[in-house]
Amino acid sequence: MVAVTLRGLRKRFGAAEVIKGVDLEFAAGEFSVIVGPSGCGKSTLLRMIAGLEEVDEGEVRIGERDVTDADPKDRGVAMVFQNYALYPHMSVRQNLSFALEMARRPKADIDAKVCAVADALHIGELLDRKPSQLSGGQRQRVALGRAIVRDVGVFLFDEPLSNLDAALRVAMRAELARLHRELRCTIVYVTHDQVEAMTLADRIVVLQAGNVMQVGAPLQLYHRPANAFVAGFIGSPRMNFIPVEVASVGPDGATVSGPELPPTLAPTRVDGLAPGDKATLGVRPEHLNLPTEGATAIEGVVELVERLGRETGVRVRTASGLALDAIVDGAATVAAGERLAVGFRPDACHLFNAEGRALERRFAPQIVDAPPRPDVHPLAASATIASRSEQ
Amino acid sequence: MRRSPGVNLALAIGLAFLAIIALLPFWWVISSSIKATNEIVSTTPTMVPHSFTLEHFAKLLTSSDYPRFLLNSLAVSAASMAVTVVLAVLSGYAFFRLRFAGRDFLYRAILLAYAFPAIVVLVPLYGMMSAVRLIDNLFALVVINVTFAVPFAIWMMRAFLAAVPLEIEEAARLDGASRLTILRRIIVPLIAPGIASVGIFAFISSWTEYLFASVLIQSDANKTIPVGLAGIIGQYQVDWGLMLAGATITTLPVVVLFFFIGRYFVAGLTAGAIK
Repeated sequence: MVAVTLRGLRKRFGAAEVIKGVDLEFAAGEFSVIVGPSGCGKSTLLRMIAGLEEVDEGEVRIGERDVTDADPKDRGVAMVFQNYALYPHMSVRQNLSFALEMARRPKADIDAKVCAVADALHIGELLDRKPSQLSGGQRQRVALGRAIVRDVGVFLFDEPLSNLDAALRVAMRAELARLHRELRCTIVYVTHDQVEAMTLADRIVVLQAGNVMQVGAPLQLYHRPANAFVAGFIGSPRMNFIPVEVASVGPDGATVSGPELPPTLAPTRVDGLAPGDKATLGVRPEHLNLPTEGATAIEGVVELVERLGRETGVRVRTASGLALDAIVDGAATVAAGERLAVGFRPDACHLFNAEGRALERRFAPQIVDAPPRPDVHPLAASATIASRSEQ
Repeated sequence: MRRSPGVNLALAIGLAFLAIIALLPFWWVISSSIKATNEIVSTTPTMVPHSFTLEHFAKLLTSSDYPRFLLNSLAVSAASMAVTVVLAVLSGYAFFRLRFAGRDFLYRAILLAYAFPAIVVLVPLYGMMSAVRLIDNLFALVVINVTFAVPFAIWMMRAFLAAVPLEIEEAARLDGASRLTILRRIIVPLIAPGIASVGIFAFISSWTEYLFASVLIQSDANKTIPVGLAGIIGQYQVDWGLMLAGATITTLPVVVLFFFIGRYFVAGLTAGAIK
């Protein structure tokens, strides 16, 4: 197990700077996931760690070694590509053994290693097939096998599940978690799918336009996003943002109101906030339901109803044109076109100042990063909900 | 969309007409090569031979220099093909996969070779070959053929190399392969159809090259088929039987080549045409 450290990393393609001074530390044995929208630079960052993109400025360290200018093969990293990048003219066996052959390992060693990896990934019966004769899931396993067979300390994954169907993706997620637990390796995983990030990661790095927005345990990002971008990116469906104006500030939080929002006390710290300031109230759809006692209600016309069985997704359009996504009970009788009031409990909301920075919530689970323990399932080791107490 | 029978019929007639235009000369040459001389030169041409003889072939192979021309042509074309393929693969890889200063300029510069008709560079090239004492030497033809075939061959390689995902090469780099190993173990097998296309193209252009062979080669012993066959046309008479038998045998290597790797050539010309 080795750590990966990035210091002041910058990358330009022509005039466009795509990585703008990134400092990150991926701890040894940790499963880190880099998420962000398309074009945010996450794949570029991964390729810079792999040595497939040159570093314009900064330093990449793997373990104790500075590998900024090292050849990819000398970095001790293995990578799984989005399109698998299997050698199409070689059999599965040849694909798995290629790296060992390049390392001039004895043939008996290569055969033994290939068989062991094939058994671990349940692809033993596919060894003599060509990639074109495999299904998407089988190709994915071969790509994983080709990375594992090399005995390296760091694995890099570039959106490896994006070509699989939904069911296979769920199965492969479990497989990846199992592999991480068994291999006790450092994994840096890139995806645009926040569900993958939330379910797999010990730690998530949210990237936007080449800048790190926030680093933290999945639940920390969910409950305590650093800014509106992270709040909108983590969580599905996306968080609702309601433009508001600050009416008053006090020790219990800020009272805000909007065109359709009655005065509501958002229980947050109020650093720098003053009456009259513009702000944004954030409410996750899962916290926006049919109004109960004590909830703040907003009324509008139902535009869209998505029945998922256990729950129903509803989009309500308010008089001012604001679209709000709510999740109501699966049995609720809601129909498109009718008027509906939705509401949220003030302690569930988030408040962002005019620059989009989150104001610290007073009532939210406090998430503490825990060092990964190799003998424990990584998802269990990732984060601990310490308390739900006031700060 | 279904076509009406009338349109189908019109298309079939049109295609048959074009096929006749393309194939008739071949039929005429091949069928005439087995006709008796008086039928060949008859004022009433016959499309189906009335006579049958192999005397023209016997005469061609036993009492003319044709076997020599054939060997010379085979040697020049095979060598030109081999060198062109090696150069096209290496430079194609460099042009389309590596980043180096002046890459785009160089790529455009090599295609400039086609901006001038061959006859324009004939005299300077003769001078150059003379200076290095390669006049009347088959090696000179190899050099010329390669020079003219390589730019187009590199251009042909482009579509094939573009079809190999960059990630495959990157995976091989991470697996510890050197550039040359990647080229040999990964790229070459994946662009085999392209290599076959380039090979056929280089072979045929050498096989049919007349202009430089007629100027740079002076002795009968070093003549290639196009020049040798032209020599059969005498000042006062033409031995049509010999000429037709020669032309028939000349098409054989090309037919054999197409039989084995021709489908790759078609793939090569159409690769990249559609997504």
